[in-house]
Amino acid sequence: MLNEGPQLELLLRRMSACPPEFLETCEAVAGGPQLAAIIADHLRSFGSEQLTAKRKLWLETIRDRPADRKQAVRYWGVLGVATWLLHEEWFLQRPDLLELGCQWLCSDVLVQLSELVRPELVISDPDRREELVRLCLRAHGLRPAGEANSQSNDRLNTLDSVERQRILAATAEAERRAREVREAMARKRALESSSRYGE
Amino acid sequence: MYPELSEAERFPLLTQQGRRFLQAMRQHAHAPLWNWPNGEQLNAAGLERVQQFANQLASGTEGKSLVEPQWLTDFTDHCLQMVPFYRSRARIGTRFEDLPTCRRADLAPRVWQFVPDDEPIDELITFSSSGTTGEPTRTPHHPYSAACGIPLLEHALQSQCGVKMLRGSDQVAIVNVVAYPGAYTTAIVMAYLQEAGCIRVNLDRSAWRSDNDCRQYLTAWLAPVWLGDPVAFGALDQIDLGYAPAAIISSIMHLHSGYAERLRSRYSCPVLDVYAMTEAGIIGVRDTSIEGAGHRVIAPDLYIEILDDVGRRCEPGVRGEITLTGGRNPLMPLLRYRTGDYAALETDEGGRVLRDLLGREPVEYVGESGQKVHSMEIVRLMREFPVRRYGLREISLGYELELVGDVDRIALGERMHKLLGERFCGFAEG
Repeated sequence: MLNEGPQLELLLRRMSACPPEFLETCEAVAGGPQLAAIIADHLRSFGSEQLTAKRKLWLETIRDRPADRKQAVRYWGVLGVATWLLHEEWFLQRPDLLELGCQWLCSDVLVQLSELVRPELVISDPDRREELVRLCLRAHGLRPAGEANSQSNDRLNTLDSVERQRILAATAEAERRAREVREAMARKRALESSSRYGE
Repeated sequence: MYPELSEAERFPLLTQQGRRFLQAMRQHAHAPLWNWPNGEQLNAAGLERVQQFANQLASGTEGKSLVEPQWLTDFTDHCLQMVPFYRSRARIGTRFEDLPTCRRADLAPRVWQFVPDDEPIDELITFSSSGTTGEPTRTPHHPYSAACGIPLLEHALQSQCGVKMLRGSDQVAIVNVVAYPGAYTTAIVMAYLQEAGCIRVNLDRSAWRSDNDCRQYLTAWLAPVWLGDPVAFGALDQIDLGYAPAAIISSIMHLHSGYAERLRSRYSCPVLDVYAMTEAGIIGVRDTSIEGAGHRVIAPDLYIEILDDVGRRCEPGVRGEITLTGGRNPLMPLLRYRTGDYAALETDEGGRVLRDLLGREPVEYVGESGQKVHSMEIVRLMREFPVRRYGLREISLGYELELVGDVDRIALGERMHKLLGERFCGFAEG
C-alpha cells in the first residue's frame, strides 16, 4: 500500500528544470568532487550531522560501482539528476524520508536504469523523466497525489525500462532456445531415433 | 544401404562380436526388407544411467504408495523454473494440487516448450506418436530413457512369470512383431543386455522377399520374448513357427482377457499386458495375482494421480483420468499430464495398482474389398500431411475423416481412397 506523495507535475517540473551543469560536471569529473559536492549540499539541508553520517557511505558506495568507466559516468549522471530531484522542497520538508532517499540513491535500481537510459534523456524525454519520478516515489513508499495505487502501479509498469528490458531479453532467450530445440529435433540422428520397447 | 548415421553414432558401444552378430541378423538369407536401420545411440554414460535405473527397479523400494514421493517438490520446482510451458502457467510455491494439468493437445503443437532450458540437447532423439488420440506429433527423448524400456520389460517378466531376458551377442532376446504395410523394420543389439539382439519385423507380406522368409527368419533366431500388439499376434497366429516363446508381451493397445487366454493356451506361455505410452514409457503390467485383476504400476519414478473431469483428485478406488508426474525422460518431464486413459488407483501389499484400466482399443478398419486396414496405416498416412488433429469416424456407408490442419485435402483424400476404396466417404463438415 503506497502513501500519498506530492503532485506528479510538481516533480516533473523540477526535473525539467534540472541545470545541464548537473550532467556536465558529473561527466567531466567522473564522480569526483563535484558529484560529492552536489550530494553534500543536499545532505547539508538536513543538518550537518546527516552530512557526516551519510556522505562517506554514499561516496564509497558510488565509487565502487560500476567498474566500467564509461558506464560509471552514465550512472553518476543519473545519480546527479536523482539528487536534484530529491532536493525538491517537498522532500526537504520530510526529513523522515531521508533514509529512504539515501537507500534509493545507493540502490541497484539506478545502476540498472543508467545501463539502459542515457542521463540526458532522463531530463529531456518525457517518459524517462516520468519514470525516474515514479521510481523515486516508489522507493519512498509513495504514489503521486490524486492517483489510486493500481493506477500508479500500472503507469510505472508501463514506463519501467529495466522490466521491459528484462522481458525482451527473456523473450529473445526463449525464442533462441526454442529454435535450438526445434533444430535438434530435425537433425538426422533425432529423426532416426532409437528403438522402442513396448511403448 | 545405411548412408545417414555412422555405425559409431548408432552403436557407440559396439564390440567386434556385437558387430558380427548385428551383421548376422541383418544379412541373414531370409531377412526381411529392412527399412529402418537404426541403433540405440546409447553411450557409456547413458548405459550407466540405464543400469542405475535397473538397480532402482530391483531395489523395489520406491513408488509403492499413493502419498506424494519425496522427490516431487524438487521435481516440480525444476519444472516451474526451467520448463517454458510449465513456467508460463504457474509460479514456484503453488500447491501441487493447484497446478494446472496439461494434456496431449497442449503438448502436440509445441513440444519444444516442454524441454527444460538447462537440459543439453546434443543427444536428443525423437519418437513419433500418434495416433490413437488423434493428436499426432514427434516428442523429444533421450537414448537413455528409451533404453530404460528394456529393464522395465525385464522387471515385468521377472515379477509376473520369472522369465529373465537373454544376454550376450549371440542370441536374439526380443522379437517385436508388427503387422501393417509400411511398418518400420530393424535389427539391433542392446547394450544393456550385453548385445543380445532385438529384431522388429513386419508380418505383412510386403515386408519380405519371398513367402516363406518370415517363418524361416523367425525360427532361425527363436527369440524367447515376443513383443507386439493384439493385431500383430493375430497375424502371427497365421504363421506356424513351430516353437513357443517363453513369454508374450502385449503393449500399445488394450489386450482383452479372452484373447490373452487364447494366446496363453495356444503357446503354453505367460502372456503379459503392458500399459505404456510414448510420453511416459512403460507404466505398468497386468497382474493376474491381484484380486479382481489390475495393472501393477512398475515405474517407480512416476507419481500417479487419478483426476475427475474437473481436475479434482479421486479417492483411492474411484475411477478417473490417469494423470502423470515425473518419468525418466529428461527432455520431456511430465507435470500433471492427463493421459486420456481411465482407471482407479489403489494399493495392496505389492504396491500401486491401476484397476479397470481402459486402454486403447485395437482398431482395424474394413476396406472396400473386405481387407483389414490397421489403424497404424492411417496414423502413418496422417504423418505425411501437416495434420494437427484428426478422427476417422464410422458412418453408415464407411468412414469419414474429421481434420484440423492446413492440409491438401484432395491429395489426402486420394491416399485415403487407396487404403479404404469406396468405404472412404470423404471429409466431415466443419
